[in-house]
Amino acid sequence: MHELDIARHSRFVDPQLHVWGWEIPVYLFLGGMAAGAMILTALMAARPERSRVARWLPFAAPVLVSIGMGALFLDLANKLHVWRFYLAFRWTSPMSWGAWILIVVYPVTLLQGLAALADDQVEWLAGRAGPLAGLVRAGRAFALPRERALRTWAVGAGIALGVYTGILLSTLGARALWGSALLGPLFLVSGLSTGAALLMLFRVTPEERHFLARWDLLAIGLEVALLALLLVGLATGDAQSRGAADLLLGGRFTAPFWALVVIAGLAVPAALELLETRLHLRATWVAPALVLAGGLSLRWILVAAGQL
Amino acid sequence: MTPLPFWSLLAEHREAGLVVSVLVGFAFGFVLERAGFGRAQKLVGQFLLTEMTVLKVMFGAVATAAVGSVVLAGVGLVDLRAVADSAASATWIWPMVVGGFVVGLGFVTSSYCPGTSVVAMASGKLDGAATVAGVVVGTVIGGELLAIPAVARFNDSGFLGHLYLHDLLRVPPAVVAMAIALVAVAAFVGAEKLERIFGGEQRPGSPARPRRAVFATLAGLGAAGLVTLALPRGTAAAPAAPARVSAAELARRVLEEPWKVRVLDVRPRDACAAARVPGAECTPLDTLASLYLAEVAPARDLVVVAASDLAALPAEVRAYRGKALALEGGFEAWKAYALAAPPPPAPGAGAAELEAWRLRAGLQAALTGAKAPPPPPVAGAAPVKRKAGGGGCSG
Repeated sequence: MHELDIARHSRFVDPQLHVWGWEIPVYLFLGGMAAGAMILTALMAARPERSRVARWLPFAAPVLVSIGMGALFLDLANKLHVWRFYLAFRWTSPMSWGAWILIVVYPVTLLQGLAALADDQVEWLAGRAGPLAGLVRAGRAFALPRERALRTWAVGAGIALGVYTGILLSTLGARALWGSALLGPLFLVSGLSTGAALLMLFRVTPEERHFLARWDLLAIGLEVALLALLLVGLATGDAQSRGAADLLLGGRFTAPFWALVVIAGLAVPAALELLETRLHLRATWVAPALVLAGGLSLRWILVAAGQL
Repeated sequence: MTPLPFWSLLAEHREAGLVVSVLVGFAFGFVLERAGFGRAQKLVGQFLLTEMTVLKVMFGAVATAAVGSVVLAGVGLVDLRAVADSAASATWIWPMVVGGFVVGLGFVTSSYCPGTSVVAMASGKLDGAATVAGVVVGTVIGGELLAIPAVARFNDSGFLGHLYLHDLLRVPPAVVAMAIALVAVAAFVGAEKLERIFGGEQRPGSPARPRRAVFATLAGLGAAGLVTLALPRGTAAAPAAPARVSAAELARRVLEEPWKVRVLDVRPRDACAAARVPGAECTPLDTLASLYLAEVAPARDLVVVAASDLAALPAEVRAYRGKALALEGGFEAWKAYALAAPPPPAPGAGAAELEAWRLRAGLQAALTGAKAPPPPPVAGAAPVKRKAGGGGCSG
């Protein structure tokens, strides 16, 4: 079919709107999850009793951020110029903010993780670190007296990272779906929820799981409220915003959005976590896995729907 | 048209249908889990006759759905046949007998059926996950086996269409539903007796009060279903002339929403093979019976294309339960509309007219391979002025 003749939708005629592929939603998902994991592990580290598994969890954030930055790197057009991000700081550019936040995340999470470990765990790590053993011990010695400050820094950097993943989209104001200031907090609470879900997949104690599930429920509740506000804001806005809202309220992203994000990613895991506590059911990986799938779907759908 | 247009969830409200199916899926899994179907011991107990929960729950669900749907259909809220046809497969008797044994074998071996294995997996059971993997692998192997002609022939053998007890017994559906409800009550009581015999005396029976309530509800609903038989209902008279669709409308539909329309070209096969509406099936009149139009899901609108205008739709097409239309003017009209170059619009034509012309010209170009004439200038647009001189490259 000569589509050029009929519909004129051609990359040769019209400007291309779909410029972001799988890398960006994956990066936003992993970045948000890392932010949630940073905040929650810092809060868990403040609790008097911690399991040995929970002491390792602060290291989840730098791993996630690294994988996410790998995806982001693949998206860059001029990969060899990536260092130029770090020659300047432009306070009006969310990408510049993000580049620097990502750099701050590493020392904060690694030091906070070293402070959270038990003594024998540090020795075990140093024993496997090879030439870096001295660095591990020095880091531990530096971090231990500053544990409280590091936890505060971890919460702050986590919030900044979580908000930034949403603002990255919302500064592109010409895309009606992304042009909302609600995306920052929305991605932060979604990151908090996916971070809690990720930590729940590890063998933490029932008390720690309960702690994480409570935070997850709070984050899910806030996420539902923010999503509702976002949709109401779009649906009552100008023609462009209404068009963007229609994508999720009857248009081509309706089924994935409501089925994967709202039902499978929010309502069902929230119900399962509530029932787990009420009925004293055995904790399974189902609710966290659903939260993770819902968090990825949310970002995937928003990034794809914003580029139509 | 019923107030709950079940079919629309598969066609024009497909997005809503997907959301509904996800909701129903989670709810179904939750109920199965709460009934204990995620535990292999409970399911195996059914075969050992020590634990009849599976029978009780399943029979209870069957009876509830049966009386519920006949009551809803009886008061005209849903189309029972449409619901039944989508919920139940048509019958291919021999492959189904063999398939039933294979599924039974898998059920006894793993102690899960496909649905309960998913429930078990979701409650964190490794044997459930292994069964789900087995279901997936088995489905793939089964699909691949269909490439062998003998297997494919067997798979299609013994086709009997949609068979229902009420059709076979020639009684109203409500009578069958009432009978099922009574059998369910009897099976429930009998199952508890069996449990006491095989499972030991200490097995507690189900609490009396909810049991009485359930039995009473089933009997009440069954009776209500019977009562609806007495309700007056309108007779659907077949329209004298078939509903028609114009060539322009058909062109728009096959281009924009081909998944909502099925085009049957009933002209002789040679004529159809030479030129036809995009996506049309070549089905000469004598082959229409082999399409089983009365049995297929009425999710798409049928459009019948004849050589010229049709006085009446063929009987096989009239048996279709969905909407059936005839192409106005037949293929002649299509040829005149889509395969001939349209006259260019008059200068100063409105936007709608220009758009219609553009669609038609594009369609003609696409279907005939002819080059489309350049679009006419938009009235009132200022002519583009070229800069005097220009850069060196513009010549």
